[in-house]
Amino acid sequence: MLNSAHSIVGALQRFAFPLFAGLAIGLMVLSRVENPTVVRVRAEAVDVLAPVIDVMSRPAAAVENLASRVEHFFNVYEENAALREENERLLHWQAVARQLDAENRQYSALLSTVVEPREAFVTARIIGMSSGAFVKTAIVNAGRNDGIQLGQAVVSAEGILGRVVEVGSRSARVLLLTDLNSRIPVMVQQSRAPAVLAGDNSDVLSLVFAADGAAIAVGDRLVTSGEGGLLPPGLPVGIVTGREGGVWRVRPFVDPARVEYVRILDYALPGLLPAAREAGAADELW
Amino acid sequence: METTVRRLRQALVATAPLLTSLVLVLLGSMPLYIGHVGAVMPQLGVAAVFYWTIYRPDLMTYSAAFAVGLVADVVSGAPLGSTALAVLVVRRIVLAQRRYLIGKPFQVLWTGFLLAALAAAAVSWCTASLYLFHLIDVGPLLVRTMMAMVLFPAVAWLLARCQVMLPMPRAATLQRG
Repeated sequence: MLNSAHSIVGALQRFAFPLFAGLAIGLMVLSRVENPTVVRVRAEAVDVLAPVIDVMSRPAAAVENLASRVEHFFNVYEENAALREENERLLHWQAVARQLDAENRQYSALLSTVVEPREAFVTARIIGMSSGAFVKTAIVNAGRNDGIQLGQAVVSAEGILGRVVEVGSRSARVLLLTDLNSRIPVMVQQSRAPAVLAGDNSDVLSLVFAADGAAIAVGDRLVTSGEGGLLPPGLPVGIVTGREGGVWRVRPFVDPARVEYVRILDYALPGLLPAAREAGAADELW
Repeated sequence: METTVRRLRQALVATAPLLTSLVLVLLGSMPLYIGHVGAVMPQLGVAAVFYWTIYRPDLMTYSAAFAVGLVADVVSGAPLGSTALAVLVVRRIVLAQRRYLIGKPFQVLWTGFLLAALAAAAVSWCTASLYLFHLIDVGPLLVRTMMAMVLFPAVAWLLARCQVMLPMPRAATLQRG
């Protein structure tokens, strides 16, 4: 009896590597075909780990704050001078913006423009960040219970950071713009030329599907176009930095490495997302 | 009462390598950005599996290594099983080379880790390229491997503190690995 038990354990140990390697490969295949069970289990697993990661990330945030305070202490004079200058410039822009806003309202009223849906938002903290070979994602500490839904835009003060691709009950995963699978509809702020902005796991983005003669130039600012109705239009995205191999390269405004809190916008126009897609078929969003 | 305490202690000993590895995996996912270090945070789980496979292969089994990799995948959002595969390969390689690494000066261990980390990076690169059907850039992976190299002494020091608290295994279990 004991001998047979020993031989079973022995056999298991001998075949443990091929067994587990096979299991890993099987899981990868299931991940690849977006098996609904695997997708759900992963979201729930993040949910379970989220409180632990949240607690662990707090000392990390404290260390980071301390480091930036020390850094600020040494730059306080330069920073003060720069801020004064910037403040003057911004006050000027504020006046201009107020005037334009008033004008815009008048024209909109004259033209009886359809009012854009007002966006509600949830503020959440980034508790985890991955920079692996596969994906560029972040985990935030808000989920379905807080009203987060698939596809919602995640923004910081500087602009858009990414989209929600996985929702648990109290955590959600954000696909960053720089991820290989990220595609968002954008347009050039000045010329309104539309294009699609794609990530490739590097720090810069590229403009794909831009019309050949599109009016794009280095230094142009890009904003979301709102096409497809998932992302609100006009969110700052990035700045065109140059052209490489026939593709326009774009530097995003938001450096995810510098963001601690984000807002998750609830914009989706009613009826645009079919119910089946909400139910966990995340594949279309990836 | 005494047996309960002893059992608890035994359970803690048996899971210590797994638990410390999981803590390191979670630490590796922290959004810690002092300078640009955090942007290339390495897989500390690989370092932990490497260390425990050398010193306590009886406790860092294939199933434990698989669990460490799986949690790393869940946390990082990578396809389930990709890091698990890399970590399994690391355990396999290290187990075969254990006798050249155990009891040697730290520099030898460190070099061994570099080779193991490079193997893990190679597995990651292959699986990622196959999975995404796109030859991914090797640069970030190499930077991460270098970061893991730099952090390895600290990780090894921490794990060595844990290891001395564990009772010695029976010689037979160690031999079998």
